[in-house]
Amino acid sequence: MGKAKGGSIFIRLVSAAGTGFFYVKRKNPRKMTEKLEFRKFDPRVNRHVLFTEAKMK
Amino acid sequence: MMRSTLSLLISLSFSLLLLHGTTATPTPSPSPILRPKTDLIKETCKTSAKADSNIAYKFCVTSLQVVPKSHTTNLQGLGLITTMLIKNNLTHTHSRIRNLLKKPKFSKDMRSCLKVCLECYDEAIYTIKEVNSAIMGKRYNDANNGATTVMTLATTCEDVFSEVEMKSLFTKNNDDVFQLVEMDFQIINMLR
Repeated sequence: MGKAKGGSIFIRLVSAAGTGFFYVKRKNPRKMTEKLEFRKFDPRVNRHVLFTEAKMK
Repeated sequence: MMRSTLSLLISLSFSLLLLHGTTATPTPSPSPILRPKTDLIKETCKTSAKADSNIAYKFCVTSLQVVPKSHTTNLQGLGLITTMLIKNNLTHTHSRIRNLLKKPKFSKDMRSCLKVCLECYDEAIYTIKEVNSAIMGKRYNDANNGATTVMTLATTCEDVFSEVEMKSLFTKNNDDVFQLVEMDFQIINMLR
Protein backbone atom coordinates (compact mmCIF):
# COMPACT_ATOMS: atom_id res chain seq x y z
CA MET A 1 0.00 0.00 0.00
CA GLY A 2 1.80 3.21 1.11
CA LYS A 3 -0.07 5.34 -1.40
CA ALA A 4 -2.54 7.98 -0.34
CA LYS A 5 -5.07 9.66 -2.64
CA GLY A 6 -4.63 13.09 -4.26
CA GLY A 7 -1.03 12.47 -5.38
CA SER A 8 0.25 12.12 -1.81
CA ILE A 9 2.24 9.18 -0.58
CA PHE A 10 3.03 7.84 2.86
CA ILE A 11 6.69 7.92 3.75
CA ARG A 12 8.72 6.77 6.73
CA LEU A 13 10.86 9.11 8.78
CA VAL A 14 13.52 6.84 10.20
CA SER A 15 15.53 7.69 13.30
CA ALA A 16 19.16 8.52 12.59
CA ALA A 17 20.02 7.07 16.02
CA GLY A 18 19.75 3.64 14.43
CA THR A 19 17.06 2.40 16.80
CA GLY A 20 14.73 1.41 13.98
CA PHE A 21 12.02 3.69 15.33
CA PHE A 22 10.12 5.62 12.67
CA TYR A 23 7.19 7.92 12.06
CA VAL A 24 4.81 7.70 9.11
CA LYS A 25 3.96 10.96 7.37
CA ARG A 26 2.14 12.02 4.23
CA LYS A 27 4.03 13.77 1.48
CA ASN A 28 3.05 15.09 -1.91
CA PRO A 29 6.16 14.48 -4.07
CA ARG A 30 4.93 16.97 -6.67
CA LYS A 31 4.70 19.82 -4.21
CA MET A 32 7.70 18.80 -2.13
CA THR A 33 10.54 17.37 -4.15
CA GLU A 34 13.30 17.44 -1.53
CA LYS A 35 13.81 14.67 1.03
CA LEU A 36 12.19 15.38 4.38
CA GLU A 37 14.26 15.71 7.54
CA PHE A 38 12.89 16.43 11.00
CA ARG A 39 14.15 16.54 14.54
CA LYS A 40 11.67 14.44 16.44
CA PHE A 41 11.45 12.44 19.63
CA ASP A 42 12.80 8.90 19.57
CA PRO A 43 11.35 7.07 22.62
CA ARG A 44 13.95 4.31 22.39
CA VAL A 45 16.81 6.69 23.18
CA ASN A 46 14.53 9.08 25.06
CA ARG A 47 15.65 12.23 23.23
CA HIS A 48 15.12 14.24 20.06
CA VAL A 49 17.13 13.03 17.09
CA LEU A 50 17.19 13.58 13.34
CA PHE A 51 14.66 11.60 11.32
CA THR A 52 15.27 11.15 7.60
CA GLU A 53 12.91 10.13 4.85
CA ALA A 54 12.73 6.54 3.69
CA LYS A 55 10.25 4.64 1.56
CA MET A 56 7.43 2.61 3.05
CA LYS A 57 8.09 -1.12 2.79
CA MET B 1 16.33 -37.22 85.30
CA MET B 2 12.61 -37.50 84.69
CA ARG B 3 12.48 -33.77 83.93
CA SER B 4 15.34 -33.92 81.39
CA THR B 5 13.75 -36.91 79.61
CA LEU B 6 10.48 -35.01 79.39
CA SER B 7 12.16 -31.93 77.97
CA LEU B 8 14.07 -34.13 75.47
CA LEU B 9 10.80 -35.71 74.37
CA ILE B 10 9.15 -32.32 73.97
CA SER B 11 12.03 -30.91 71.93
CA LEU B 12 12.12 -34.07 69.78
CA SER B 13 8.42 -33.94 69.04
CA PHE B 14 8.73 -30.22 68.31
CA SER B 15 11.56 -30.78 65.85
CA LEU B 16 9.61 -33.63 64.24
CA LEU B 17 6.67 -31.29 63.87
CA LEU B 18 8.93 -28.67 62.27
CA LEU B 19 10.45 -31.27 59.95
CA HIS B 20 6.99 -32.36 58.90
CA GLY B 21 6.07 -28.77 58.24
CA THR B 22 8.98 -28.29 55.88
CA THR B 23 8.71 -31.59 54.04
CA ALA B 24 4.96 -31.85 53.83
CA THR B 25 3.53 -31.26 50.41
CA PRO B 26 2.13 -27.75 50.19
CA THR B 27 -1.51 -27.22 49.24
CA PRO B 28 -1.51 -27.91 45.53
CA SER B 29 -1.89 -24.74 43.47
CA PRO B 30 -4.39 -24.97 40.64
CA SER B 31 -2.85 -26.44 37.52
CA PRO B 32 -2.07 -23.96 34.69
CA ILE B 33 -4.89 -25.50 32.66
CA LEU B 34 -7.49 -24.97 35.35
CA ARG B 35 -6.21 -21.58 36.49
CA PRO B 36 -8.57 -18.84 35.28
CA LYS B 37 -7.07 -16.86 32.41
CA THR B 38 -8.20 -13.57 33.92
CA ASP B 39 -4.94 -13.95 35.86
CA LEU B 40 -3.08 -13.81 32.56
CA ILE B 41 -4.97 -10.67 31.56
CA LYS B 42 -4.20 -9.01 34.88
CA GLU B 43 -0.57 -10.12 34.85
CA THR B 44 -0.08 -8.93 31.27
CA CYS B 45 -1.73 -5.59 31.96
CA LYS B 46 0.23 -5.14 35.18
CA THR B 47 3.55 -5.78 33.40
CA SER B 48 2.54 -3.58 30.46
CA ALA B 49 1.41 -0.67 32.61
CA LYS B 50 4.61 -0.92 34.63
CA ALA B 51 6.80 -0.88 31.51
CA ASP B 52 4.89 1.86 29.72
CA SER B 53 3.33 4.84 31.46
CA ASN B 54 1.04 5.45 28.46
CA ILE B 55 -0.90 2.29 29.33
CA ALA B 56 -3.59 2.59 31.98
CA TYR B 57 -4.00 -0.70 33.85
CA LYS B 58 -7.79 -0.34 34.07
CA PHE B 59 -8.13 0.44 30.35
CA CYS B 60 -6.00 -2.59 29.51
CA VAL B 61 -7.93 -5.04 31.72
CA THR B 62 -11.35 -3.72 30.66
CA SER B 63 -10.47 -3.81 26.96
CA LEU B 64 -9.25 -7.39 27.10
CA GLN B 65 -11.90 -8.75 29.46
CA VAL B 66 -14.83 -7.76 27.24
CA VAL B 67 -13.66 -10.30 24.66
CA PRO B 68 -14.93 -13.72 25.86
CA LYS B 69 -12.10 -15.58 24.14
CA SER B 70 -9.50 -13.69 26.18
CA HIS B 71 -10.43 -15.74 29.29
CA THR B 72 -9.24 -18.99 27.73
CA THR B 73 -6.31 -17.93 25.60
CA ASN B 74 -2.54 -17.61 25.96
CA LEU B 75 -0.24 -14.59 25.55
CA GLN B 76 -0.12 -14.88 21.75
CA GLY B 77 -3.93 -15.00 21.79
CA LEU B 78 -4.00 -11.81 23.84
CA GLY B 79 -1.75 -10.19 21.22
CA LEU B 80 -4.16 -11.24 18.49
CA ILE B 81 -7.15 -10.02 20.51
CA THR B 82 -5.48 -6.63 21.05
CA THR B 83 -4.79 -6.43 17.31
CA MET B 84 -8.44 -7.28 16.62
CA LEU B 85 -9.55 -4.53 19.03
CA ILE B 86 -7.32 -2.05 17.19
CA LYS B 87 -8.77 -3.14 13.85
CA ASN B 88 -12.35 -2.76 15.13
CA ASN B 89 -11.49 0.68 16.45
CA LEU B 90 -9.88 1.74 13.16
CA THR B 91 -12.76 0.39 11.08
CA HIS B 92 -15.31 2.18 13.26
CA THR B 93 -13.47 5.51 12.96
CA HIS B 94 -12.96 4.98 9.22
CA SER B 95 -16.68 4.55 8.61
CA ARG B 96 -17.40 7.51 10.88
CA ILE B 97 -15.10 9.71 8.75
CA ARG B 98 -16.73 8.46 5.55
CA ASN B 99 -20.17 9.36 6.90
CA LEU B 100 -18.95 12.80 7.98
CA LEU B 101 -17.53 13.45 4.51
CA LYS B 102 -20.97 12.84 3.00
CA LYS B 103 -22.33 15.80 4.94
CA PRO B 104 -21.86 19.17 3.24
CA LYS B 105 -21.86 21.22 6.46
CA PHE B 106 -18.06 21.26 6.96
CA SER B 107 -15.63 23.98 5.90
CA LYS B 108 -12.99 23.41 3.22
CA ASP B 109 -10.26 23.07 5.88
CA MET B 110 -12.25 20.56 7.88
CA ARG B 111 -12.99 18.51 4.78
CA SER B 112 -9.29 18.35 3.87
CA CYS B 113 -8.49 17.23 7.44
CA LEU B 114 -11.16 14.55 7.19
CA LYS B 115 -9.75 13.38 3.87
CA VAL B 116 -6.23 13.10 5.32
CA CYS B 117 -7.59 11.13 8.28
CA LEU B 118 -9.50 8.84 5.94
CA GLU B 119 -6.26 8.10 4.06
CA CYS B 120 -4.42 7.51 7.34
CA TYR B 121 -7.09 5.11 8.56
CA ASP B 122 -7.17 3.35 5.17
CA GLU B 123 -3.47 2.70 5.48
CA ALA B 124 -3.74 1.78 9.16
CA ILE B 125 -6.46 -0.84 8.49
CA TYR B 126 -4.30 -2.38 5.77
CA THR B 127 -1.27 -2.41 8.10
CA ILE B 128 -3.07 -3.85 11.14
CA LYS B 129 -4.09 -6.88 9.06
CA GLU B 130 -0.39 -7.41 8.36
CA VAL B 131 0.37 -7.12 12.09
CA ASN B 132 -2.19 -9.85 12.72
CA SER B 133 -0.54 -12.24 10.26
CA ALA B 134 2.91 -11.31 11.59
CA ILE B 135 1.88 -12.26 15.16
CA MET B 136 0.34 -15.50 13.92
CA GLY B 137 3.54 -16.28 12.01
CA LYS B 138 5.69 -15.31 15.02
CA ARG B 139 7.42 -12.59 12.96
CA TYR B 140 7.60 -10.21 15.89
CA ASN B 141 9.90 -7.63 14.23
CA ASP B 142 7.39 -7.21 11.41
CA ALA B 143 4.57 -7.01 13.95
CA ASN B 144 6.45 -4.31 15.84
CA ASN B 145 7.08 -2.28 12.67
CA GLY B 146 3.45 -2.58 11.63
CA ALA B 147 2.26 -1.48 15.06
CA THR B 148 4.57 1.58 14.88
CA THR B 149 3.06 2.45 11.49
CA VAL B 150 -0.49 2.24 12.87
CA MET B 151 0.41 4.32 15.90
CA THR B 152 2.05 7.11 13.93
CA LEU B 153 -0.79 7.14 11.38
CA ALA B 154 -3.24 7.84 14.21
CA THR B 155 -0.89 10.62 15.37
CA THR B 156 -0.70 12.00 11.80
CA CYS B 157 -4.52 12.22 11.75
CA GLU B 158 -4.44 14.07 15.06
CA ASP B 159 -1.63 16.42 13.92
CA VAL B 160 -3.38 17.48 10.73
CA PHE B 161 -6.09 19.25 12.76
CA SER B 162 -3.56 21.18 14.81
CA GLU B 163 -1.75 22.23 11.60
CA VAL B 164 -4.84 24.21 10.57
CA GLU B 165 -5.61 25.16 14.20
CA MET B 166 -8.80 23.16 14.42
CA LYS B 167 -10.08 20.90 17.15
CA SER B 168 -9.76 17.26 16.22
CA LEU B 169 -12.98 15.29 15.98
CA PHE B 170 -11.21 12.03 16.68
CA THR B 171 -9.03 12.72 19.73
CA LYS B 172 -10.75 10.00 21.79
CA ASN B 173 -10.54 7.45 18.95
CA ASN B 174 -6.91 8.30 18.22
CA ASP B 175 -6.02 8.09 21.93
CA ASP B 176 -7.71 4.69 22.21
CA VAL B 177 -5.84 3.42 19.15
CA PHE B 178 -2.60 4.83 20.57
CA GLN B 179 -3.09 3.07 23.90
CA LEU B 180 -4.17 -0.23 22.32
CA VAL B 181 -1.10 -0.18 20.06
CA GLU B 182 1.10 0.46 23.11
CA MET B 183 -0.49 -2.64 24.69
CA ASP B 184 0.22 -4.59 21.52
CA PHE B 185 3.87 -3.45 21.65
CA GLN B 186 4.26 -4.74 25.19
CA ILE B 187 2.63 -8.09 24.38
CA ILE B 188 4.84 -8.47 21.27
CA ASN B 189 7.90 -7.74 23.43
CA MET B 190 6.80 -10.38 25.97
CA LEU B 191 6.32 -12.90 23.17
CA ARG B 192 9.86 -12.43 21.78
